[in-house]
Amino acid sequence: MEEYPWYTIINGKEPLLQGDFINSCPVVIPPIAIESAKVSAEVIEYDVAILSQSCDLEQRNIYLVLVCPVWPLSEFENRSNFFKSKKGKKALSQGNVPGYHLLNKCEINGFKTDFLVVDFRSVYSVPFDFILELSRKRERRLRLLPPYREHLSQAFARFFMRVGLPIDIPLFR
Amino acid sequence: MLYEITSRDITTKDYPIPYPFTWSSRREESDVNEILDWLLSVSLKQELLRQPFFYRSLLPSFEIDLSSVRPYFEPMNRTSLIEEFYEEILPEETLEYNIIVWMQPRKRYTIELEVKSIKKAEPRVVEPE
Repeated sequence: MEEYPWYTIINGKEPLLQGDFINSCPVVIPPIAIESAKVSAEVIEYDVAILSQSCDLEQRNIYLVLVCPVWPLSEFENRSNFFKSKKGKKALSQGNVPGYHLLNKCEINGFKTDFLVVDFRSVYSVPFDFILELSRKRERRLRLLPPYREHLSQAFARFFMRVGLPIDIPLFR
Repeated sequence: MLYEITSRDITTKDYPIPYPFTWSSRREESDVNEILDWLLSVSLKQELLRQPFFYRSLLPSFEIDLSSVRPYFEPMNRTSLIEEFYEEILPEETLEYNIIVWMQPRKRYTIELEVKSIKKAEPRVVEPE
């Protein structure tokens, strides 16, 4: 449906919004203990999607921006037989695999992607000024559009609000 | 066995039909049914014209329920159908899969950090506008 495209490309200087993609975003993992003035820290890089709410980003009501890794579905398939199977992909597309959210392919020239899997199990907070500067340096970036953006946010909320019961009600036979 | 109520079973006390019933043949009975249908459609059209313009657009959206005029009976076994339906969709469509895939970062490296200061954090209050 052309009226409801999934993605658009925006200039790097555009304000950050929920659903913006930042490629190769570094995350500093602090050492277990800080015992001297000089420490070694590990840096890991992910392609990430912004999960913080757009209004908080626009009004700068937050100091840390919530991001989570995004992977091409093919990489998930290589690591998991479940996602390689038709059943697994069907469950993923129907939102029945908590912690993961499937996004459509991007067909925009220069930004073409496979189906994307957003990984809610590894969320990171990145300082606002840091990610803002990083996005400006990247010149152009991919942005997820409504209503798919809100659907992503809802999927994250569903994952986060899960409650595990100590004793489940047995299945009715 | 199906039993269809025919015009013979319809009370016409408050519903005059300008057509003499003869009940002589099955063919005539179906003709009467057709006349009833036609009368209903004419009545609806006239009602439509009497309505304000806004309601005219809404009226065609409603289906005419003829069940009170022409009830239709047949043996039903809906309960078993619903049970079969639920049994069919439950196992595949509604279960969640608790699958975890640990993905390695795109890149991993070590940096040296100089610790400038260590202090207890203070709350950063965002006041509502």
